[in-house]
Parts: sequence; C-alpha cells; structure tokens
Amino acid sequence: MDKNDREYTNGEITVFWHPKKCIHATTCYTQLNEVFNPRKRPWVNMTGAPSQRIIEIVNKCPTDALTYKWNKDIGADAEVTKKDLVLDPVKPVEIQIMKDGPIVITGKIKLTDNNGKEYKTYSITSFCRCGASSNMPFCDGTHRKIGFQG
Amino acid sequence: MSDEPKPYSAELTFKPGASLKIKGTFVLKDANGNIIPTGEYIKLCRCGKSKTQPFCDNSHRTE
Repeated sequence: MDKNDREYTNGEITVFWHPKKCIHATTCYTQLNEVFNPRKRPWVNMTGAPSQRIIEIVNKCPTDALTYKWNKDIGADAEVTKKDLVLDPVKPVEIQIMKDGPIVITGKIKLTDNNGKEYKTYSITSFCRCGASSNMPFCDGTHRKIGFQG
Repeated sequence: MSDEPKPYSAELTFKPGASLKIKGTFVLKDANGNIIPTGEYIKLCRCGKSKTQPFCDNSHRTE
C-alpha cells in the first residue's frame, strides 16, 4: 500500500483511493459529484449516494485508482480491482481517447520502444497524449496542469 | 507451434519524442465514445501538437 493511499467507508462498503494510479479521466467527479469532489476535503463523501451507486461509478474508473470492497468480506483480498477482470483474448483491444486527456487502452497489448525494450502493461494502460508526462510513454496526469486541449 | 495464438491482440511501439504506433486488432473510440474507423495500423499523437488529433501528423518534428 502506498503512503498516499486512502480508504473511505460508509459502514457497508469501503472505497480505496490509489492516487498514483489516477489518470484523471474525470469519470468519478463528473458523474457523481455528490460523492467524489476534488475541491473538498476529504474529497470522498461516502454519505453522498447509496452504496450501489458508488460501486457503479468506482467500476467506471478506467484504472485501479478507485476500487472498493464490501466490508462484510473480511481481508484485504476482498478489494475488487479491475485487474481481476478476466479479459477475453478474442475481444479486440479498445483504444479510448479521453477528452483533453490520455489514450486509455484496454485489453491484451505488447509494448516495446524503438530499441526493442519491452514494457510491462496492465489490462488498462494509459498513454500520454499531451507530451508533458514525466513518466513517458505513460500518463501521469500532467495534462491537467498544463491545460492540454485535444 | 507457430500457429498458437499470440497472448496479445495489438502491438504498440514508440520512439521517444515520436508517435505511438499500433498494429493489430483494435477498436478506436473518440472522447464521446464514437468509433473512429481505422485500418490495422495507426499512429497516434503523443506530443499534443498534431492538427489531426488523435492521429500523428508529424508535428513533433517541427520544434
């Protein structure tokens, strides 16, 4: 667990926040601002919506920045991460362009640079599109700081 | 066996400062979720300067 990670609970479910994995897709706060509001502290308000609605939005987060678990499921293994989702190898890879943000690629891919070095990828990988990431070729959220539009 | 399926359906390559080249079987979607028809090989912009977003137009070469 990263030192910046946070947990929020309403007694029924716990939402986990892994900021290092956030690609600023903005899905959470644009679709459920009553719960996810980056302008407030704490930025997650677990009383803002029913558990099922929170889970629905957490599952829409394209990375594992937001995950959840049912509190009745004891143990850390109960955290539902998107990496656990079984990918259909026959299903084509999906390449999603995020507005003013990264390229989010879902599915089985192989990534190499021009020297033939292979990079580890996950079931969801986001690539920098603004040119300013410090973690090339991956997105690190810098597009927001520089006001990238495209 | 050479006819074994590959464990991935798209191959991505990149060169520092240049585009992201993608070859294989994939679906490309714009920011609104609409499918952008493509062939099996595309080059996506990584520098933010392309006039033909999300595709590369070689703007990265004109610093």
